[in-house]
Amino acid sequence: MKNLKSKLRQGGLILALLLLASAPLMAGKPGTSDFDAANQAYAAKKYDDAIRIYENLLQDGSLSASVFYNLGNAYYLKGEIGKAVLEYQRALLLEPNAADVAANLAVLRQSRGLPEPVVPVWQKPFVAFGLNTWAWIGFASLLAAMLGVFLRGAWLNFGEHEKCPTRLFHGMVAVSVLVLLLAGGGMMVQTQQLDQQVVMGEGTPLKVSPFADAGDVASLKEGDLVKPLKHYNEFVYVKNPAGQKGWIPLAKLKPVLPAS
Amino acid sequence: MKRNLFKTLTVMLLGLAPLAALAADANVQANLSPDAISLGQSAVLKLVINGSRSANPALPQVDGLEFENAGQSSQFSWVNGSMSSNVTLIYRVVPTKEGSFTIPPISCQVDGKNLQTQPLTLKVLKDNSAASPAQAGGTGSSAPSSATVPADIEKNKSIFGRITGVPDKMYVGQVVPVTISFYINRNSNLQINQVGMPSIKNDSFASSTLKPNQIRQSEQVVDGVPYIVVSAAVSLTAIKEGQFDLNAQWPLSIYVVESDSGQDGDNNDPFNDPFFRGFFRRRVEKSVTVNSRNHTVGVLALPEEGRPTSFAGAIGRFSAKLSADPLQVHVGDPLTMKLEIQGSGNFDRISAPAFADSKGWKVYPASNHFEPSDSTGIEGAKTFTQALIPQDGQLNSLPALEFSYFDPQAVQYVTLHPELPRVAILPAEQDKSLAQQTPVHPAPENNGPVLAPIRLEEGALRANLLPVTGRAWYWVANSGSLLIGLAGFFLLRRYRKQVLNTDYQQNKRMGRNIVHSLQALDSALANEDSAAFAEAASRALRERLAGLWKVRAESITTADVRARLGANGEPIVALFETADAVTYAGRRFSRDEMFDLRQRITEQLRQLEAKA
Repeated sequence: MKNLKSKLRQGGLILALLLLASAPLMAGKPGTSDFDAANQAYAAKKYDDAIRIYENLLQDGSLSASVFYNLGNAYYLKGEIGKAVLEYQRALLLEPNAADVAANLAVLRQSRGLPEPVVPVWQKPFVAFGLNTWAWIGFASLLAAMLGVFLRGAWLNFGEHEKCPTRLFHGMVAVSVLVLLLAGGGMMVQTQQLDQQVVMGEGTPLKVSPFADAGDVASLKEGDLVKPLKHYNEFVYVKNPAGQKGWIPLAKLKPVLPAS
Repeated sequence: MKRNLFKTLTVMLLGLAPLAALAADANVQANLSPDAISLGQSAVLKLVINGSRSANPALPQVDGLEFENAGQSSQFSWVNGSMSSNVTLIYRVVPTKEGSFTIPPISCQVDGKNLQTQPLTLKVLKDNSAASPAQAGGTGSSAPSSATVPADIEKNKSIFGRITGVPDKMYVGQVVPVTISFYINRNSNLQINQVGMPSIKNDSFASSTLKPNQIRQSEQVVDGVPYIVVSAAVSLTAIKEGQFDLNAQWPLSIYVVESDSGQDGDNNDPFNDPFFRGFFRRRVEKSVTVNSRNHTVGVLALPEEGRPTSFAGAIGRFSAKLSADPLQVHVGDPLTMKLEIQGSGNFDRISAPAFADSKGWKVYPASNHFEPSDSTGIEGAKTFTQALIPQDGQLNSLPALEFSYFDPQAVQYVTLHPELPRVAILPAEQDKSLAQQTPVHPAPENNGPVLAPIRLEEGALRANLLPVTGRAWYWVANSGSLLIGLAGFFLLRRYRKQVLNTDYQQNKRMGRNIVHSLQALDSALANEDSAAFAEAASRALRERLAGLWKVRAESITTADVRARLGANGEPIVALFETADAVTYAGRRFSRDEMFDLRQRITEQLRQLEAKA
């Protein structure tokens, strides 16, 4: 019996070591040859080639913030502003705090006269982290709160209830609930960013009604971020960061988060 | 061998099952067409017996009407394993005087059951008003002439064509359903090989395009002669006014079977059986065109008098319904209006009705969709879908529209004003600043932006961009946390309800003590130990009473029992005294006494528990 336990322990240890050793491989840390080739094409200012290889990597399912970011740079330098904004936004989905992505997006917006998204003051704490981070914080705080309730109940029922550290459990639950509320707010704010769409054509008219011959309300710039509100046939009713609303052809928009 | 026999029987039973079902579902229906005729004309009475291939109807005696047998047809089909069969018996109803007649229910003997039809009414008019041109053109055919069989049934021919439903008069643009058919005498030496598409031979009429699946084949017995009847229903439209002769042509390929020598011992028939003889005869293929008889049709122009301005050529009978979606709309937002025109007539001539006054609305062109409800496309519903945008917040309803058509039966124009759905028009959602153009930004730089460098490491790879909140396992994990919390709440509730409740604890303790006492009682009984038995019995009863009265068990005396329970407590007092007699007076129980006492104690405990 002891032998069996000892063997199981050894097996577990070996498995853990194997997992640790393979972690970098699974994370895809080292640059692949295609990724390197795309980077070399970019360095040689062959942006079309670089874009083609980066796009192939994404189509093959190798999605990473680095690929989106580099692709965004390539599109920007090629002059395709809408696509550049789209790829930067997608890079930010994976790495919300990536300084290089934020910096290049700011440069692009400044150079093209695109407005920076305005974050209301009350939302500022919630944009400190991305959606995934908030989601994990929410999960951890919910688990902590629920464990607090469970452990106290178990202690009182099955342990010496006179010695139960009630204050500790109450504190644990209270803090967890506060963090959970914060995480809920963060998730809500970040989720609203998910349905943003990027305008793909320069001077795309914002129309008063969803028909090709309808009058224009305003003109949108390529790379503008808009929020879809409703659909009618091949048109989408959108709101841009300036608060303007109108109809725009569906074909002129690309969602930051792809449908599939 | 046995298995094969079983399979064969199963297949036979399965094959017979639908036949049994047929008999079970048999029903009979009667219809009379037309239901109003003039004296001198006749109507057609059809008895349709569904679910059987034979019937024996008993025609009623109606004063003023005579019934003449005009033949029968039967159909038999097997579709997706489901069998259906019907037989239609056709009678001519000839009036001998004018008036309104009721044909009472007709009894039919079908597969041993007596089924009855519904009563029918026939109106016989003095003059010819029942068969106006409009009626003839609208729905059906004229009644056959005075002969026993219709005049265009050419009994002397092995094959002949017919066209039925052609009215004597119709209007330009009017569409009527007609049936083109050809008959082949089953007793002739002709067999159908291939059937082409029939056509109407007159350029003054247009007919609908037929598809091969619209051609039907049936059997019909006319005046004792069995025929194979191939027919197709088409719509006929008059193009110009005048008097025209009309007939139908049907190209087809047939086999002409050579006649045999007339002897049973034909050399071609190896079975020497008339049933198989046809298989071994020579057949010659021939292409023929079967013509129907000519019909003379008078085509009238639509009357000018009373023609509404909104009339656009629709002829028939229609109803119109209007709907809108959404029913609440802001100025500048589109809504979809649907106009559904239902009925029978020339739907291909119906175009989107125009609005009389659409001021304050931006109106976009309408699209349309026609959904026929019969094979000829004469009956159905046409829906016009149109986008409208309110331009003015003062509007309070949709723009009105009207639809006009000519009713050939009533010989008059009809104008419909469909009821407008109630639509709430709200002020525009956008503020005035929307009308302003976005400010013009400086021209983009062509080159020279200072960008942060690209990344040289590919980084962590992901299969897609979906956040964790879009994945099912994330919510399963959260649900797991909630389940843990739920278990915690359950434990806290249990703690408050049980651990903190002294009554609960006392009852629990009492229950345990009673169980222990009863165990001691049984143990003393087994050992025939009277002292232990008496002590255990006394303890069990006291514990039960203590739980009931919320007092300590040791403090309960016989006086307490008498005081609290009165006469009901006497059995318990007796038990206490018996136990005391053993404990203090040295009395001994026999085994039978112990059994008896055990039973009485159990009974008393049960009664006390019921009181608790």
